Amino acid sequence: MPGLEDVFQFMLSIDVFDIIKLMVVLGLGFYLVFAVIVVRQVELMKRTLNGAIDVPLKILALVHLGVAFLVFGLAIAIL
Amino acid sequence: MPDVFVADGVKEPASGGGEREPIIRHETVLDREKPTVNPLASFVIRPRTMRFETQQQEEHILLLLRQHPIVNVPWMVITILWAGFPTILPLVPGWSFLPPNFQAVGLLVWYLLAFGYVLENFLNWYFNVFIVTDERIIDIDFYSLLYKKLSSAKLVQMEDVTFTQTGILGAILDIGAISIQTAGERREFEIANIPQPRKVVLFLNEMVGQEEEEAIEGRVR
Repeated sequence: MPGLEDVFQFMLSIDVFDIIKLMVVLGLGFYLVFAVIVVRQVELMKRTLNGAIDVPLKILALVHLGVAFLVFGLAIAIL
Repeated sequence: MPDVFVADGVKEPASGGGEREPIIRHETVLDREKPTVNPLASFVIRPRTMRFETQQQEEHILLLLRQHPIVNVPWMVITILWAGFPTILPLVPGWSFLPPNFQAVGLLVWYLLAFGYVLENFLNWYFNVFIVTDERIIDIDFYSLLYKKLSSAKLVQMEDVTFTQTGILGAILDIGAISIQTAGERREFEIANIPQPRKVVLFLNEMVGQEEEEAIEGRVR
């Protein structure tokens, strides 16, 4: 059957590095969700107790999210 | 007849007239100390720029406690080791077989995870606090990413305050734990690894005494 043969050809062409790339991208995708939750967490914490370093903490959380996005994009682009 | 005793801090009530007794406010152990300005301190006296969620308009934070900074040492050591590990990566079997692009992304992911680890641990230390205001005690705990618990009890509901100080580190750094029994909904407040527990207990007892005096004089809010 031509369809099944194509599937086998595709499976044989998969490189181990393709699998690693998929796993890394998936993992980074989950980490992105975590980074968004951290930003949300900082907001919640600031609302509960606000003080002198609220702005730096918010910036740190956003930088963390930005770096996570950057690494995710890099993983897709260069792997 | 000469005065036998004159109390400190005696002041006449604002609305004068008649033969009313002066309001006596006893000085607490923290009144002699300056307000803390360091935002990362763990023993914060009368913080000027802090407010918490359920704070009332006329309520003032007198003391804010966090765990002693020494509790951050373990995760800081782990972070240092984590950051230094890539220097020995060439010795790890299999690493040199990875293509350069995989090595680069691997390093970035490694440091990204370290960043997240540091951020989470710092947030956990900074925002888990115990607050004493002029009216009540408040315990704020963040158990996980989005689960917080804020418990409070009025000072007059405090029934028993005890502190424990164990170990060499506790003795050297003056770290201990405080347990507060209350008559409120939450029966017990436990705060561990706080600095100067003896002073905190003394302060709490003084505040309870003041609240009881206010209750007798009818000045309770």
